[in-house]
Amino acid sequence: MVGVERVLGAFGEHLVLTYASLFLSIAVGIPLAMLSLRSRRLASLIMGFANLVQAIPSFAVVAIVVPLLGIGFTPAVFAIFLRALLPIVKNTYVGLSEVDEAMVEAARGIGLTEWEIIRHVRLPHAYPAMFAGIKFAAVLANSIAILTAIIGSGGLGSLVFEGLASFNTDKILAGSIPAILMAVFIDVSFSYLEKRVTPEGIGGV
Amino acid sequence: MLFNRIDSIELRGVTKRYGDFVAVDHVDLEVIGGELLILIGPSGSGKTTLLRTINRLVEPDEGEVFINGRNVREFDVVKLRRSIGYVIQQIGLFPHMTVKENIALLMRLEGWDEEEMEKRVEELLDLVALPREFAERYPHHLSGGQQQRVGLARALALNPPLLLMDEPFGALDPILRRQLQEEFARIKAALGRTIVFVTHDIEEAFKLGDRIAIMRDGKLIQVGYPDELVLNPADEFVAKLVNADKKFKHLDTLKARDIMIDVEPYLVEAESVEAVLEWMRENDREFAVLTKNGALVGTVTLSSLLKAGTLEEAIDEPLRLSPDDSLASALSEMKAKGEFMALVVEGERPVGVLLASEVLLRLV
Ligand SMILES: Nc1ncnc2c1ncn2[C@@H]1O[C@H](COP(=O)(O)OP(=O)(O)OP(=O)(O)O)[C@@H](O)[C@H]1O
Ligand SMILES: [Mg+2]
Repeated sequence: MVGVERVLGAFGEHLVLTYASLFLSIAVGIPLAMLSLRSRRLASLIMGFANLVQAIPSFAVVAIVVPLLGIGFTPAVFAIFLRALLPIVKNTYVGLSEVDEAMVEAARGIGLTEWEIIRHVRLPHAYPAMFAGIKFAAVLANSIAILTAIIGSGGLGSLVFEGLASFNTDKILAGSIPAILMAVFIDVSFSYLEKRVTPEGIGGV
Repeated sequence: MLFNRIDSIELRGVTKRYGDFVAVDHVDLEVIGGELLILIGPSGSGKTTLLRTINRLVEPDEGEVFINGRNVREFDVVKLRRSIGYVIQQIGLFPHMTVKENIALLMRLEGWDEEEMEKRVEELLDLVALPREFAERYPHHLSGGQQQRVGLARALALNPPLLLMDEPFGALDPILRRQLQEEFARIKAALGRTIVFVTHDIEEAFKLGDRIAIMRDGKLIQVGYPDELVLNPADEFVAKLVNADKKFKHLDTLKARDIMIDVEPYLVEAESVEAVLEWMRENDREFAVLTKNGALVGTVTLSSLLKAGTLEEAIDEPLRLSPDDSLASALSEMKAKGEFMALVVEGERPVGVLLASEVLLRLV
């Protein structure tokens, strides 16, 4: 048997780890996507880097962080952040850049600055794509947060790995079932948020 | 606002090339402060491109644009555009914002407070004849004509002394276009500003324009008052465009039936305000000809329906013509009565709608 307190504690760590890195990727990813609109070269640089990181297996990203930052919570956050960044940057950029050019021209014509066009015209139209990216990133973050237990992040992953090492099915389940519930919760919560912020008349809402 | 009034706009040798193609070719043009200048010409003649050099959406390759004697390139481009109202035909409105948010967007960006914005939005809705409760609706719940009114209201939000309008009524059905032209002609005087207005439609040009500038292949062919264009066209092309030769010669023999438009798309048999409103929504119309068992009852407009309690209150008695009435007498009668539209009926059955021709009105 695994103690309830142990599971709750691990779940709490997992939650903090996942959301901290996810919010970091959102906080960095969305501005990067907006910046990419500024120039084609910057866009291809940013997308190139994000694609490269995406091509590296999750496990390798987690491992590579160790020689750079050591082990523990912070390196784990950084590893997850790297992996979650691409879907957010890429989807947000696609959403922002696929807004009807005629509408952007109209906005420019009535005197909006480029920043105001992003804020008031492009961003609301990019919400559906952006949220799809965030949801995907959240699912990634949730699963990598299990892996990072290897580098000492704590959380549900430590239960899973301990269980695997000692052939303890209870421990494996105590680690993985909350992670599955968490994935469901992430999807539901971001779908709700998306509904709240997306204005009427966009993306078939 | 960079300027409170327009004394003059001067385009000097304005040229715009796209690769080898010359979209606007050395155009010299002066817009007089306070006038409505029409830019007219065939598709691709450079009207939009020329218009957009004024608010710097297009930067000319050669030539300069001056407003009140100052080169537009001296101005901050965002300030310049906020001092110039801009109305276009295609999706000018932002679909994710309500009518109110669309109209108030620039006020909000300029830091107006909530109360001022509220007041101004109501003022503008009144001006363009939209019910105030439309403020909370989204553009896709409005008819084409209503969206166009919102576009105008938005352009007027900051009270700019100059308006640029690019085929604002171009996508509307012919009767609705005339309705909006009538409304616009009425508020134009109250607006008291300088307007540059692009159109394809010579009737619209004659109805609204103080002066008319004619373009072809990127060149300015002739600028003048409507009568000048009719009486002294610069060339064959201008003569054809104002159509004066053809219509002038045949005015005596033409009959109402020859230039009336089909009434069929506007016919409704309905007994209640709701039923007619429903029909208008479905068909994107703001005008209907009511019949009962095929016989004419009268005409209604969207705005009269929205104001009226019962269908009877909303109904107008239109001027009736017969298909064989001579055009000259029909137009004189319409002119005398101040009607821009008459119904052509055979017995009691409506068969056509005659729109007053601005070109011909000047001739009768
Ligand atoms: N950005 C652009 N790149 C290339 N060609 C352009 C561009 N903008 C306009 N043109 C060309 O310049 C010519 C003039 O275009 P413009 O839109 O000014 O014509 P217009 O008179 O407004 O026509 P319409 O009545 O169809 O609106 C057209 O042949 C058009 O294809
Ligand atoms: Mg055009």
